[in-house]
Amino acid sequence: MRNKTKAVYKYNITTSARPLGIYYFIVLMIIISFAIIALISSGNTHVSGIEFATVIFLLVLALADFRENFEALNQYGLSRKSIYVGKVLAFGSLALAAAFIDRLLVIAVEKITSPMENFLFGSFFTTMYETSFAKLNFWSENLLALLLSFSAYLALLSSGTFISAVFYRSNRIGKIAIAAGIPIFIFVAVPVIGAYIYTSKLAKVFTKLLEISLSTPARASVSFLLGAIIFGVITYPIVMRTTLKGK
Amino acid sequence: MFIEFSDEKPIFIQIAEWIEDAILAGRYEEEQQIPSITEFSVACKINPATALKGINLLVDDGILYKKRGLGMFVANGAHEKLRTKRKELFYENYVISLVKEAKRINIDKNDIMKMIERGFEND
Amino acid sequence: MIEIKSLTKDYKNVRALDNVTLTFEENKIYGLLGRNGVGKSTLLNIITDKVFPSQGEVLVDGEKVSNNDEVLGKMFLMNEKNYYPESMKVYEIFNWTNEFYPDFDLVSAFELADKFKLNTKSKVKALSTGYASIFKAIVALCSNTKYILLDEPVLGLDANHRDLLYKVILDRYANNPKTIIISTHLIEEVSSVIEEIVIIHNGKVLLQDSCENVLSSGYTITGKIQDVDEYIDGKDVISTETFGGLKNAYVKGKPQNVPSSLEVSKLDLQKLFIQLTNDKEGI
Repeated sequence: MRNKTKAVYKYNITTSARPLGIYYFIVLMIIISFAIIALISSGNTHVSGIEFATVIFLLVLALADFRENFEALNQYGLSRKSIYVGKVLAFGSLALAAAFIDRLLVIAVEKITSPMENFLFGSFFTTMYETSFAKLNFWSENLLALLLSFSAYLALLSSGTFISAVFYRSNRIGKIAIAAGIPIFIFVAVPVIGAYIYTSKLAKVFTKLLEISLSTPARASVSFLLGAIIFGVITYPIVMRTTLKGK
Repeated sequence: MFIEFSDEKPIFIQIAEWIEDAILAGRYEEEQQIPSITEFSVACKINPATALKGINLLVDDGILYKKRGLGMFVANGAHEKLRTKRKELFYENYVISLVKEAKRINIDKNDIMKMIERGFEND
Repeated sequence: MIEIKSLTKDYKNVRALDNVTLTFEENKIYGLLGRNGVGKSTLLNIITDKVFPSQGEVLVDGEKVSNNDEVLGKMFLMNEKNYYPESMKVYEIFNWTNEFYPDFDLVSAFELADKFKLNTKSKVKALSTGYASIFKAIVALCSNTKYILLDEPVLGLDANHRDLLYKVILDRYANNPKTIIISTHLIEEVSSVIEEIVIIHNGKVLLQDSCENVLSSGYTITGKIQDVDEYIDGKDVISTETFGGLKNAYVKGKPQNVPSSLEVSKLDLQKLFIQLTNDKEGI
């Protein structure tokens, strides 16, 4: 790795380490407090979906990171290419680190709390693909879960960066359109289109595609990785044409 | 070290004149080192090229000389040279205009002499 | 050497730079002068590849700047606005600059911060306008790059700090010559510091010359209105002003046969600048 890229990588890792630390501190606090509740009460406590929380966290991180990161690195006289390459490498490491931590958390908490019958701590992905995972031994299960979370995290970081890069480059009207457009798309357009095409031929193709791509953990991993690569690739020309915005 | 620059002349000439005055007043003896270009530049907030130009005027006149690797020094005989130069300037700048003005308002030579004597007594 | 070749920059409705061709030579201090919003910042941002030109190109030591880490590393631009993360502390930015610029002088950066009484533990967002300028200027000056570009470095500084900053610039320059470009609209106070003048107006280069040539290209003549009028008749007059029966005239060329009733002094750079950049707005 060239020196500049190395420095960009270090910068990205250092600046992401703090929010990541805060996030896992909160996660740990939540797990501990639920475990305590389970200890003192007789009711069942169920904490699951750590990966889902991480997905949301990483998306927000990627969305919030681009402007500050680009502007700061710009002050340090780096080319857009170095900024991009450094970011890809750093986000790759970040996704891997988060996947590792999540896996370790799941294994550790399950182990520690196994004597407690009314406390259940589960992984989002292993719950989702319960039948697939049930057939696997300890190592294969964890390796597959690790791969799945890594690719999901990378896809979110990648798409988040794409959205925030487009957002940064847009003018005011464009920014409003993106800020309003994404929720509108998710909450209005998707259900409406969904309802319309649900009956159509296209819908069948679409749902079939979704079914195939997400049907097994391995297929889902590949789909997420593909998504990450696609967003990563289309973000490159956007970053290369990004200019420092006036304030 | 303070040099008050006026608007009348270019700064590099004022730098040269300041050094001349300092030598005449005995602040810098012959064979003594004067401040470096950097020191002049920073203290007077002027571009080093300007300071260099002022100092080079005096090098050309033989008032200063450069010791390689050490800096600028006051040349031997600089004091005398400057006195001669200033005397000449005194005549050009003051005496000629004094006589010119005196003629214009009709003061004769004797009156001027008396005035000069009075000036010396009151000093 | 920084070569700017027929550079044009169009924003939506405005032409910020209009076919600018300029050269910045090595080891000189330049004053990039112009009124606010005439394209100085745009020019500096294009030189350092932070903004793209619409037409034309910039060569630094013969190489194109865009996407060239090596060339970009030869330059440091202190932006007028703050682009550093607001929650970062001053010393952290010193340290990071040290990571990205191999020749960064960390020791001097802290020494200078001390000199200006800049608290290196304070966050960027907590700095006043003046201290934000000081902090950015320190980072730029300590980068020890071959080309240092300062965009409005004395913005918000009080008289003492301005004085100190100019002295620091000269000190670092004299000890380690490099090309320094100071963009400012405060002409009079930089005029003794700079060696070369570039005046930009409405996106065009109005003038590029050595400070000395510009200053010796004209002179000021002062006296009674009638005497001055008589003298300047037929001469190339830049501008005039009258006050209490007296008149100042800024005249091009060298003074010739000046009657003793008139006083000659050197050209007022600020006056020349105002005259050159006056769009006849009137009062």
